[in-house]
Amino acid sequence: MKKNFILILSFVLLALGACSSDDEVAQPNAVAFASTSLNLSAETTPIEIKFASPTAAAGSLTLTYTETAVANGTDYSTTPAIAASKVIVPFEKNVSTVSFTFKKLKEAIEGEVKNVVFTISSVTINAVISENKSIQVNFNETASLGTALAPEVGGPFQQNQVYVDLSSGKMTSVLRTSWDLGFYSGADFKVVINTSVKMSAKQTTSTNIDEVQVEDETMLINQGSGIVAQVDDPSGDITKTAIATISSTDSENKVYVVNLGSNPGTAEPTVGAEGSATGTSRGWKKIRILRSGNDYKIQYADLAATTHQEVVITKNAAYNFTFFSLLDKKTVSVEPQKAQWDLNFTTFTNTTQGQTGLSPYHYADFVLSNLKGGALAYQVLTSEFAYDTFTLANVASAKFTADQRNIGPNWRGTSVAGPSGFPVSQFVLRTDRFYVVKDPAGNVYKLKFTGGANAEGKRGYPTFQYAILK
Amino acid sequence: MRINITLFAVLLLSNYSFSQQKDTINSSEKLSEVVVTGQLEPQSIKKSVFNVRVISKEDIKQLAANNLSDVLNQYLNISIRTSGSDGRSTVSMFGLDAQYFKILIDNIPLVSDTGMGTNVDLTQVNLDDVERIEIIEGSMGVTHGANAVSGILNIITKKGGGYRWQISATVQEETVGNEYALFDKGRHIQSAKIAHNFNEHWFVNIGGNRNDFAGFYDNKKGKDYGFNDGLRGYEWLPKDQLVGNAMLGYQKDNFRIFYKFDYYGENVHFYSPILIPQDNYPFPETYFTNDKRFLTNRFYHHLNSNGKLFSRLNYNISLSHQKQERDVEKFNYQIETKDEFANDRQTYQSKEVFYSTGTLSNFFNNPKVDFQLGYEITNENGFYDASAGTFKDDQQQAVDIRKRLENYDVFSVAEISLSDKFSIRPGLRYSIQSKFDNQYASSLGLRYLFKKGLEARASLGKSYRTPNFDELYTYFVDSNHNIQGNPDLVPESSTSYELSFKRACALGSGAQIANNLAVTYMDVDDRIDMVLTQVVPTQVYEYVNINKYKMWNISTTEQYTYKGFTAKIGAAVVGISRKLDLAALNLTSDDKFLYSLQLNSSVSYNIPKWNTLFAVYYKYNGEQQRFVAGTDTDGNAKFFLEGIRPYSWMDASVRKTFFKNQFEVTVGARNLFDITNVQSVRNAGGDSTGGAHAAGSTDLLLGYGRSYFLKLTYNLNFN
Repeated sequence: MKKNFILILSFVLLALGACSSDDEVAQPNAVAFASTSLNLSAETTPIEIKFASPTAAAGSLTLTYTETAVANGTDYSTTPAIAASKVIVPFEKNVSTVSFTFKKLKEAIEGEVKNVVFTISSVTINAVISENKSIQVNFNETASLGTALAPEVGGPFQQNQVYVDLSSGKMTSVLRTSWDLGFYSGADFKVVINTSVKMSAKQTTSTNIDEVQVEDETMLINQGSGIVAQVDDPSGDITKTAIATISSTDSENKVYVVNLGSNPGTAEPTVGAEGSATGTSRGWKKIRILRSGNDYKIQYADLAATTHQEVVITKNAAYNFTFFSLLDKKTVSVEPQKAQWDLNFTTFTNTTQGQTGLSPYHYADFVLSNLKGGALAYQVLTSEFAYDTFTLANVASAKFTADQRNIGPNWRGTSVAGPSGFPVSQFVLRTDRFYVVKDPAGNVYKLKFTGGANAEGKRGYPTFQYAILK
Repeated sequence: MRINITLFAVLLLSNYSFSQQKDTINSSEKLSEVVVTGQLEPQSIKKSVFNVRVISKEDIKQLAANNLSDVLNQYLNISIRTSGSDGRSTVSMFGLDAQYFKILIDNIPLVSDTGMGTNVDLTQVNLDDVERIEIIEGSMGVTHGANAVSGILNIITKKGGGYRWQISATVQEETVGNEYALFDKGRHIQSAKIAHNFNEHWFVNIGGNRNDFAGFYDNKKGKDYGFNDGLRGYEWLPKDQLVGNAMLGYQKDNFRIFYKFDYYGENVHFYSPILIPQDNYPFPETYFTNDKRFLTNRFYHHLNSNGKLFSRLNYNISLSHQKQERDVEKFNYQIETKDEFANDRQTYQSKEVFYSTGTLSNFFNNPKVDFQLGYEITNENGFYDASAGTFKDDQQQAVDIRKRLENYDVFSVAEISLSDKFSIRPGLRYSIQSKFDNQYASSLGLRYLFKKGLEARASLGKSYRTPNFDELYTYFVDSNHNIQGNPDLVPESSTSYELSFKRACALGSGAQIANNLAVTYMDVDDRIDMVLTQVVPTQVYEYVNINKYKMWNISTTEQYTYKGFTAKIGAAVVGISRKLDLAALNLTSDDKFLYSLQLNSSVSYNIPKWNTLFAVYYKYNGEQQRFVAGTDTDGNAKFFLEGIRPYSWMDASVRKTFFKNQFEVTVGARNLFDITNVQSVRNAGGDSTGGAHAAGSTDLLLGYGRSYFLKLTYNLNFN
């Protein structure tokens, strides 16, 4: 009997297993400049250095520097001051950033290449010096060497279009619903519709703007519905717009019925979904566009109206388009000057192959390149090249094709398989790819997206990093 | 005292579970199996009008089966599907999924996350206290109500024991494929049981079981893998299971009562392969993942009493309360620090059921005519969290679904013996449903015993499957989507016919041969599927009663026994015809019968001198084909023939007992053919049109490769 109980006891002991535990190793901190270049505008400029996590102890950083056509004391000074060819920047315990001040003593003449490059050479606490160990401080406007940006498209409703200029790091945000038509400034007389709000335009046979028109449900853009010919060609080819080229012969310029699309939603969508086009209808208009010398003349009215309004819209060669709001009845400022933006974060009416053929399809999280201004982009898979080691020599110029969608929606996925087999909305960043962007000035950048949703999973919070290729 | 207990033990052993004196078992029948499923009274399998298949305790032992999925892989006409996203393993019989197959414990349906008896995760059914498993194929709507379409599986648990004390403890260690480590890999099972007879009237059983399945990595790299290449996580999700059960029974004269309590706890871990970067410029991005764990708790109470009323009527009544709750705990896992954050636990799916069934029989006290009256009451309260399906409102807000389903059924079965040889068994059920139209089911069984041990049976059965929550309540309508459930769905209806022959004979040499041949035909009408019901102006997907299913099955088993040697061989040919209608796309699939072959075989050899039993189980699954809807390269809807490649399943084991059967060692291997994923091949490319964006998967998780087990059991029986 005793033997039996010993056996049972040994079984019980076998059954009770101890749990393994992982030993945590203290991670060293990391330190780096907040960006890799900086153009001086004010007289004094703080230069920010970041720690990856709050500092474990107080200490100091040692920076070395290299001057290009400038001298300490004559052209600039720093606080703390340079001593023995070094800047010693002290920091407190438990801080995440520290900065020193750069003071410009003498303005540079435009066109001169004058800069100081600071490099972190050592740090007194246990921290590694990361990739951005140097910053180039430019006395003149110089193309950015790269930084990280977060275009504010506005969360899940994505109510903003954000135009990004990589070389200056400048972002311009406008409401997507602030405009309806764009009048091309180039040699051709072309008019585009707002592709961010599911707009569509249908040519009628009439040339009389005062003739009553009716709403046409087939013009609505929903899944599988809408007509490809009634939206602008998504590639951005200005010769393939929904509205025909404005003829110098007035009688050839027909009246169009315009569906103004949808407003952004108002009810917060479920986490992971977007509500960029779930709002109310923006209504309907009829328009007729004529030439007015080298400018445009637009006649517009509500569909049932028997009178109309008329406005002359002038071309402005500094911009791709002159924008007009049919609802606000005025020209509005939307895009920056055509050489001053490269990418546009927006929603977009693309086309997709559906079960009933090619049809318009509304996308959120779209990124357009400024094709008309001369910006081009293409995608690189990390299976071909790693982002970190990608250089100018790796750029394949032939891949810069004339399509504004070369980034498009390709940088993200929007769903994962759900429990019932249907997909469930969730933002999925594609980390197996990055992009090469050439700006209108010819600077070539590599650009990788680092996010598109916030920590809660809500859509409409894109972030990306870029670095100039040399 | 000792004599009394021995008597009691003999009584229990000879009567199995709901023991019933009426069927006086004569000496020659003592060896034959007694079955209860679908019977008026427990009776010998030979007398059963239904063709009842039995998986014995010996089979369970020899397969070292811890749960139902370990044993059903060897069963003809059944295959098991495992999900890599929620870790559930469910049954598929005749190509119909687990919603059509009902699992019962001691004759009452077992609750699952989403059903009552249906859609049971097989790994959640522990086999520790199981006496045997009975399976009846075909529609059993009369005796077992809704959703008993493709068949029923009834687990008969042990009641009491043959000794005053029966104590046993088991440790089982298994590899998962070729993966094994003391904690992080493999499968680790511990269990203990105690059965005690207080006196001739009272008995108690208590048991506990822990099954720690550390997951199957295959090519994946586990939870701490920090690269965004889809390799994080597990091919089969890690799962810890804890089972506790207790039973208290009493019997005196013609009165028996037992109460059974069962607790089941499970923790399934899902580690997402998608690493989400956090911008940390100018430092390298950090990564976290959206992980989740599913926590299941099931509480099962069953009170049963049976015996005689007015010293004539046999009654059997069960009351049960069951609740299964599956919680989901979502959390983010920071790869660099291994910290969990933003933990959020909520109920994912739950089902709470009050259930009662009862029967009354032996009205005429006539061995020729027996008549049974029965009732079944089910009151189910189901809950689906919005994230468990696609449930939204018009404002795109997630909506939880909570619904109560009630049904009040009455049924009646008569068993008329026209002669010693010929029995006829008509049955009828009427079900009053709170949610659907009232349903009825009917059945007719015939049994004829020919000379020379040949038995013939014929049966007709009807049943129905009630629509599930997804089918009823899915709703997702926005500018780009229109996917809708349909509250007006009607239950799918099924009819099955079976003709079977059995023959057993003993040869002069002492060898025994038994054959069984069965032909089955089944159809299911008004099958529910999601189809495109409108194309213009917007595409509308909706669940509708639209499709048809027909199935032919011919199966045969042969058994040969000689001394310690037993060989079984079985073969089945299944032909399935599905008519899929794509509604608005004006396309209907070819409804020709697509045939597949299954073979199974088992050989065991017992060497009494060595106390050793060798056994090999083998099953061959032929190619299974079906038509699936897809889109061809021109974007047009089309049906494609999809086939699951053939595969074989083989388990083998050696069991040896030591010290007068006190110590038992089983060593074996599962899945000797090393099956992991089996490819499902479509004859042309294209996307599935099953849903708005759904993409078809091409690899089916069937196993985790050849694995080995060692099971040690210590039994201590004394009076």
